[in-house]
Amino acid sequence: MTAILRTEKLCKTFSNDGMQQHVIKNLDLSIDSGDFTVIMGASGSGKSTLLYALSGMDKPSMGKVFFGEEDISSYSNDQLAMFRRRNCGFVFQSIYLLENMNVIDNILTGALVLQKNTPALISRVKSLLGHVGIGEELWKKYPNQLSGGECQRVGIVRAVVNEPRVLFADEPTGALDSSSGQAVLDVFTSLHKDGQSIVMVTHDIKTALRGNRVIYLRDGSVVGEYKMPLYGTDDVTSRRDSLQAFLNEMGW
Amino acid sequence: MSGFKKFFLISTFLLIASIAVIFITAACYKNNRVDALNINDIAQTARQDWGDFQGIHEKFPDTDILILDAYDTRLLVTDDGVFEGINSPLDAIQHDMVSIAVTDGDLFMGTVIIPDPGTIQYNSLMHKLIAVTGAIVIVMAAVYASFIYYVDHNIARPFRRMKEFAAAIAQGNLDEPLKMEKNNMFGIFTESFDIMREELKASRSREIALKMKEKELVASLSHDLKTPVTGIRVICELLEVKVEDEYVKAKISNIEQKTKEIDVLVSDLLSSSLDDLGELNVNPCEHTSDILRKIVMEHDVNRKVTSNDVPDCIIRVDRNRLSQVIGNIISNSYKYADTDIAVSYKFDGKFLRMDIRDFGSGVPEDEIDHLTSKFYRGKSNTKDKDGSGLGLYISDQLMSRMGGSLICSSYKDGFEVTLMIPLA
Repeated sequence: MTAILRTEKLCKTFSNDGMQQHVIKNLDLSIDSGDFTVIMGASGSGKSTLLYALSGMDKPSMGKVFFGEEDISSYSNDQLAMFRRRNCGFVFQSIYLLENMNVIDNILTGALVLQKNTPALISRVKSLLGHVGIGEELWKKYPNQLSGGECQRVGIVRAVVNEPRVLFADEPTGALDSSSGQAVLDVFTSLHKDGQSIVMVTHDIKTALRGNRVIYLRDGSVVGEYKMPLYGTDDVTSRRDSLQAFLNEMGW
Repeated sequence: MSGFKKFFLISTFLLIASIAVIFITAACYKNNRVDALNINDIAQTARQDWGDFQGIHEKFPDTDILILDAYDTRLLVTDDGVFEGINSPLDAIQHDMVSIAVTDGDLFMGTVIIPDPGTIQYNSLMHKLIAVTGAIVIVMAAVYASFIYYVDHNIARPFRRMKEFAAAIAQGNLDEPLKMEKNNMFGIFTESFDIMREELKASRSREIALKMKEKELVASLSHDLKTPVTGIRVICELLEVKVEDEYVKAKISNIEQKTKEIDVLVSDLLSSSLDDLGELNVNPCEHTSDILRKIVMEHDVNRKVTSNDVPDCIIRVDRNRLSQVIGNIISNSYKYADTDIAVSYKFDGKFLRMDIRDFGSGVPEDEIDHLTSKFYRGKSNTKDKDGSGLGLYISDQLMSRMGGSLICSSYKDGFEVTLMIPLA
């Protein structure tokens, strides 16, 4: 496997009243293409900060971030914005759908930044929606007519419609109840099976189970990692127990 | 002092300006003064021209007039505002207006009402006075506020700072300089306080260095004492076997006993002074790696060091102790090699590896391992140089306490100390 993301001595420092707080410290990390990587750790361990640095949403204070072969840590803000648009998809805990547009249009606003409005695009959007379980009866509905889980699945379709090289997710099920959360996670699992590289931050073990590699952060450093087979190819109970054992060992 | 001068110039100017405003207002009032009207003239005209009320108004255009008929109906109102609420002669009296009945023989025709000229003058004077007083009060308030701000900002605040500064000094914090503004009134005064701080700081670090030297001296003296004492003891042991005279033997045994006691005391002295030397608080914190460049700069007084860029990272060290270590290595190199010094950095696992190399004669292979032992001084190159043989020993201890290490290596054309600096 080739590394899609690689950091070299990545550091992120925030200054507060002259006090420097080093949130990410000397991080050397390599994330393989096609992996579903889950970043875990206690609150304040730097999970989200790391995700923002990896995805080019924030610039590191020191060190380098390589996205494929490109050193994105040297990019200007404008270059980063262009880069993110082409290469990254984002799913957040809060779902940012445009209230005044229906489901299809919400996805098309994301797609038309990079693609031409062709019948092929429309049919791809529709097939993606079918793929995530958003039936035809919902296509013309507005976000406030959908459930939270449905909104998040629309959000995922919008995130992947431009075929990003990496899909980044920050607590995508954080705001959802258990069953809508599972439906959203099933979408991630099926995207992963289709070869999508995913990097996800979570503190929920059920969510983490979907990944095939768990990275554990403490005080801004990687203190441990754990590999799992593809989700669905092993027994879920024993998968959960061994991940739990790993997390306990990490001091979860 | 120019600030003070400027302030007084401005406030004096404002005072003169406000006095001028009062005089100008008074002069204007004088010009605008209206002669008291004879209400009788108006009443006379009203009687003669009763009916042509507009005509009456035109004859006395400068006067506000209200004419009521016998049933208090308004016949002429020149100004609704002035006569608001005046509907009868009684109202007029209550509002300090002058009213006069217009009669034709016994026939009561109506009432002419005008505002009292005295009241008009009084009111206009009052208004002007209030305006002028208000203006003066505002101006003076502004002047005083700026004065208070000026005093607080330029006099009280420097003193407050001085108080905090003195408190910090008293607590032993000698690193914080005294903050001063550019146009400080007490410039030289406060500066001398800061000079005092710097001197205190310097003398304290001299004191620490001196204490350190003292302890090193005690340690090395007690170390040196051990050799002759051991010599005496060995000779005693030898004599005890050789001598046959019992009295002498007893005395020699006595001497041997005493040397043993001396040996114990010297060992105690040595270990306690070594403990003191090693008892350096090491308090590692996270720092960005650029402090390494600064530390090297601080110690490289002869500008011998060339260095590659410090790679960006966060290290976990005690800055003062690391500075002590690097200072020791650089001064050693000045003392023994006196060549250029090459410093290079690279990552090595969990450490930032810092190689400090000179191009002198190096250190013989068999001495390398002893360099970090206490009291060891190289044999080849140290004869004419003073030193305690403790520098690298202490540096090595300090690096270990920070979680790093110190490695010495020698080459044909130089000596190298490698510091393994722990990453955060």
